[in-house]
Amino acid sequence: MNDREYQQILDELTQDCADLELFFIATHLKIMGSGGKVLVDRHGHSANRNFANYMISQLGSVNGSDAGAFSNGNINLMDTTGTIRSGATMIGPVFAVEAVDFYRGFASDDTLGTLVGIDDTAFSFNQFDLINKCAQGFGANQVQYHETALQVKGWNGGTRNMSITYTRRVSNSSGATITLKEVGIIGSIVLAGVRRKTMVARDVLGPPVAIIHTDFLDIIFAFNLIYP
Amino acid sequence: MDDQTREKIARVRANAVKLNLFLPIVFFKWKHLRNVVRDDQGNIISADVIAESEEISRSWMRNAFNHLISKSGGKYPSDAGSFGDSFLSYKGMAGNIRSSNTFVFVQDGGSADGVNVETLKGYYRAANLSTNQGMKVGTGVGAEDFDSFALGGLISHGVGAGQLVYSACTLVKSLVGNVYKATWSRDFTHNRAAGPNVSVGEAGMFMYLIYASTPSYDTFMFLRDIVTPGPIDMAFGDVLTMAYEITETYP
Repeated sequence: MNDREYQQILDELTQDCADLELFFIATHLKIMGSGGKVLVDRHGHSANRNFANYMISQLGSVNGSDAGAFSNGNINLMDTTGTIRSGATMIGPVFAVEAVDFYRGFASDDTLGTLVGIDDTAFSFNQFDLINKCAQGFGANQVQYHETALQVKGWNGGTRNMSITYTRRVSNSSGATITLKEVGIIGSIVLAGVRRKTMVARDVLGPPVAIIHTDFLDIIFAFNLIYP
Repeated sequence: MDDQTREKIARVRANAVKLNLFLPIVFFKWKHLRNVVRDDQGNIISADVIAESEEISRSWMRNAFNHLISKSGGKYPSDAGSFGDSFLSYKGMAGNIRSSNTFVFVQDGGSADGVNVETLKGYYRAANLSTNQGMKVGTGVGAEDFDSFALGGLISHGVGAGQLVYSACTLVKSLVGNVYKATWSRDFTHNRAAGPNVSVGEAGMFMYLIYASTPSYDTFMFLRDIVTPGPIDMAFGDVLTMAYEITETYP
């Protein structure tokens, strides 16, 4: 689906939701180059099953207790190792969501927060990790992950949108250009008292975005909710 | 619920799936029962249905919105003293604004939501006789208001005048097609032979959360619906069964 098709569906959905007084969580992805040039600025195309299960657990007040398959009717998580996790508790974030944790990765941490990859395999609802993640490092197709900046709450009185935005810088010192094709958001999600690194969204970039050697990009990812 | 609304709901679900958006739809259902016959365990074995309704709930409160963006986006509800546009906080059912700049609101006071929310300690789950959390009913008939934090006139549990007996608030989980449903139900019984009748004009769903690390708890209204057609006139022996069906559509 291209951005125009996406927007058409979103417009229809937004109108219907206004009529029925419904709401939805939307995401937004923006990528800026080192010179401040905006390279990507579009709706996020893909929260996945983990995110849906996390949210319905929170709002429906149900446990992530289904030990069976990672499929419809089962509320559980699949962590970034591909392991199904379940337990008789709600699915929740870590307690201190604004610490360098939850959606915020530490410097050099390629397991948490906003991560990038080099594979453009189409999005699938059941994906649980990036397809070909760029590891932290200085080798071929490796990047340096900076610490995710403190998330920022925003409010737009015109659109009545509240946003929570994360920015993470990714640098390239590999000696060659790296062509990024995917972005993922990995959170530290808690189930049955145990933290699980869990991807909640993956966006395939189209077209890809290149980082030349010695350059950097800022990946800006937002969660949005429009209020009545 | 009319056909036009059903069609619109179907379109919303289809479009939300296409865009991979989390879009919960809630249905508010109730039945007014009279001439109720129970077995020796107290289970209803027969009754006359006086009135019933099934409508889409249009009444997520600001508390619910703030809870969802706080949890999904990962942000403390830290706007102390302010509850309204642009602020992230909660308002308890007594009108107290609750905020924290150190943690998201949870149930157990520990390091995470490490609690079984389907047990009696859970977010919506309420025990027999408890009006602390879960589904509640009231006498109010005032219009729904996004910033509401309490029912217009809470009907308390009991057998006194103007009271109803609250059963446990229970959960049934199901999958119908690709729609996941978490259905929370509760019965309210008029059990005062001397009367008077009790008028039920509204219902709400309340979540019980920790707002300070002491820990301190408060109860937050997430949903409120006006009963239509209503109000319901509850006579001695009548039972009102109510349910909130919280749904999410999966691909």
